[in-house]
Amino acid sequence: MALLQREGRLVDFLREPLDGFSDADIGAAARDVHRGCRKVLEQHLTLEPVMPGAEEDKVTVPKGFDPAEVRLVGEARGEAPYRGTLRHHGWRATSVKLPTLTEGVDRAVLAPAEVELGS
Amino acid sequence: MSQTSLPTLGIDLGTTNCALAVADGERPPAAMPIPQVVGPGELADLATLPSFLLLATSDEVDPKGLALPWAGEARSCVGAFAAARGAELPHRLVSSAKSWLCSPTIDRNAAVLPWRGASRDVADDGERVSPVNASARYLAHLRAAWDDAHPDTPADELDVVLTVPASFDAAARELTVAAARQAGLDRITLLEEPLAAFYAYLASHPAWRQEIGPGDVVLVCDVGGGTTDFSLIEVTEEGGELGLTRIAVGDHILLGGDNMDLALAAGVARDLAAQGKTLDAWQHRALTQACRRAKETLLSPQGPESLPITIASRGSRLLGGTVRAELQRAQVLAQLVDGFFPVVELTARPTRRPGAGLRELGLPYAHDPAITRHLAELLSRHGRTPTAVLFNGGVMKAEALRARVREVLRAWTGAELTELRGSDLDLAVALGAASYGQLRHRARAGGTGLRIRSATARAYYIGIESSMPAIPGFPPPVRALCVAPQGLEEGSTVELPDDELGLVVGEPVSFRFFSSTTRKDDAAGVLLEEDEPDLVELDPVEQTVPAHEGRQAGDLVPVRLSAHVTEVGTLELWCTARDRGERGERYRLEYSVRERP
Repeated sequence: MALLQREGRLVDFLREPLDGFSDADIGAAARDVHRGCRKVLEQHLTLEPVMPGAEEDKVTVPKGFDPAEVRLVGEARGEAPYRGTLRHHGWRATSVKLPTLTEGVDRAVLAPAEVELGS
Repeated sequence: MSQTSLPTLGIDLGTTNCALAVADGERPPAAMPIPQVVGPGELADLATLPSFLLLATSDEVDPKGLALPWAGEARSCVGAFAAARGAELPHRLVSSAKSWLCSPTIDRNAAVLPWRGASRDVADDGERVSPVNASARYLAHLRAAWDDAHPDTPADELDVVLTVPASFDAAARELTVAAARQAGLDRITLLEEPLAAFYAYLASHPAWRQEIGPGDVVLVCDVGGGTTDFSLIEVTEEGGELGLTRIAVGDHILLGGDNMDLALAAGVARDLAAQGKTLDAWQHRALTQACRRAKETLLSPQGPESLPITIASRGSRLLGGTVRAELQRAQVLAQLVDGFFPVVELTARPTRRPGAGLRELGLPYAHDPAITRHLAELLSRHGRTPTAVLFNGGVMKAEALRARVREVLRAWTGAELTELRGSDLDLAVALGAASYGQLRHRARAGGTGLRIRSATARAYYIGIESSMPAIPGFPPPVRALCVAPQGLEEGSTVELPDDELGLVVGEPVSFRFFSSTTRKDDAAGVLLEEDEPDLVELDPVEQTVPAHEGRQAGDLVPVRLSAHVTEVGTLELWCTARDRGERGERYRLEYSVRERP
C-alpha cells in the first residue's frame, strides 16, 4: 500500500468521496493514479494471462486442469476436456519482486505527513 | 584461480547515473543491477545507481531507513532514494559531483558540496564532502554491492576499468583515481567514455567488420542527463591489427536531457500561468518529471499526437486539485529538435555570453543550448569528416533526435553516415568498459585482431619563464614547453631533450600548465608562445623540492623533465636533478587542484 500510495496516490484516491466531482475531474486524477500504480505493478510483478488466447474465443479446458487456475461457470457435464468460451483470461504473477524491507522501520505509516518549513 | 579466469568489472561513473558491468571469461559483458535504498527502509535492485548523495540529519531522514544489506544504519545515502528525497532537501543533496571534479573554480579536495552558491549565508550546519569524496561514495557503494553478491571474488582483487569523459584533463583523471582508491579499488584502469561506448558496440556486434573498417572516422555523440560530449575516433590498421585512435575530443559541455525537461516544463508552466494556475516548487518538480516521461513517449517513432500531463495536488485531496495540461507532439518536436538540435551551417559557433562582471560561482553551464552548434565547432576545429556515427546516452534513444543529427551531418559532409547501432544506451559505457578489460586480458594471452591501447588525448605544456632582462611593469614572458605530445601511449615515458631548466629548491614552486587537443604534431621539447590560441590553461603543477645535501633554499638546481603515462592512464610529470648523476633525486610535480580565479 505504501508503494501504491507513494507512486500512485492510491490511498488518497480511494479515501476521497467522488460525489460532486465531474467525470473530467475524476479522469484527470485517475490518469496520475493509473500511471503510478501501473509503474509499481510493472516494477514488482511479472503478470501474464493464465489462459492463452483472446477473450470471447472458444477454448478447451483439458483433462487434469487445476480448478484453482480455471474457474468453470455453468454446468460441467461429464468429464474434462470441457468446451467453453474464454470470458476472462485470468492473471498469474510469474514473479514477485517486492523491495527488501529493513527492520525497525514502522510499516503502519503508509505515507508520512509532510510539513514544509518556513512557509 | 588464475588471473585470467577472474572477471573484469566495468564502471561508468556518470554525472547523473552510475552503472556496473562484468565480463567473465569469454562471455559477453553483462550489466549488474545495483541494490540501493529506494524508499525509507526499502531496498531494490535497479539497473543504474543515480549519482546523488544525500547528507541529511536524522530529523530529516530516519537513519534506520537508510540501512543497506552490507551496512547498518547510515546518515547518508546514495542512489534512487537520495535523488528523490534530495529534491525536497536540496541543501543536503550532492549532485553532478563529476562536473565539479573538473571545475577549476573550486578546490576539489575541499568539502564544499552540497554547493550553497549565493545562499552561503544560510546556517551552515550539515556535513559537507569534496567532489572527490562524493565520487568515492558512489564507487564504494558499487564495490560493496559487488562484494555482497560475490564474496569469493571481491572487487579489490579484480581489474576494474573506470570510465572518464574524454575531455577530462590530467588533474581530473588523477582525482578520479584518487576517488577510486578512497573507495578501496586499487586495480584501476581509466578508459574514455566514447571509447567505452565504441567497445560496447563492438561487443554487441560480432560482425562489426562489415560496418566499419580502416579509414573510417566515427563520431561518438553522447548526450546524457546533464552533459554532452563529442569525440572522433579513427579506425586504423597496423600490422594486420585494427586500432582505435581518438583524433578529436570536444569540451565537456554541461547541457543534456535535464535541460530539455526543464524547457518543456517551463513551456507548460507558462501555459498554465496564462490560465491562472500557478504551481509551487513541489508541483513544478512533478511537472518536470511528467515532461520527461512525455518526452520519451512523444519522441518515439510511433508516438501519439498529444499526451495529457497531469500534476496531482499536493494534499491528500486529489480530485479537483489535479492540474491538467496537454503536450502536443509537434510542439515538443519544435521545442526539442529545433531548440536543441537546430539545423545550422558547419560554420556556426555556440554563442558565449560575454562575462557578466560579477557571476555567481558555480558549474560552468553551457550558455548555448544548441547541441548542433557545439558539434559544428568541434568538427571545424579538427577538420575531419566523420563517416559513421555512434550515439550514446539516454537522450539519444529518441529517434527524432538521432534523425536530426544525421540530417545535419549529411548536410555538412555531403554523404549519408553509417549509424552504428549500439547496445542499451544507458548501460553501454559500463558494458564497454568491462569488454575493454576482457579484451586486454585476451590481447595479453594472444591476438584479438584489435590493438587495445589507450593514449593521451591532449598534448601538455608547462610554462617556462624565460630569462630576460627585467622590464619594469612587464612580467617576464612565459613560454609553453611541450612535455607530453598527444597520443602518448600508456606505459610510455618521454624524456625532454636537454634544455637548461632550473628548479628552485626549498620553497614551493608552481608552474603554469597548459594543454591542447588540436596540436597533434608538437613533439616533446617544442616551445610555444603562451598566447598561442590552441592552448588552454589548466591547473598549475607544483612541487616543493627540499633543500638538502648541501643545497641552500632558493638555489636553482638544473633538472631534466620527463612525462610518464601510467598503466592506469594518468599522466605523471617528473623532474630529475641533473647534477647528481644517473641516480639523481627525482621529484614528481603534483597537480594543484585548488581553486583558481
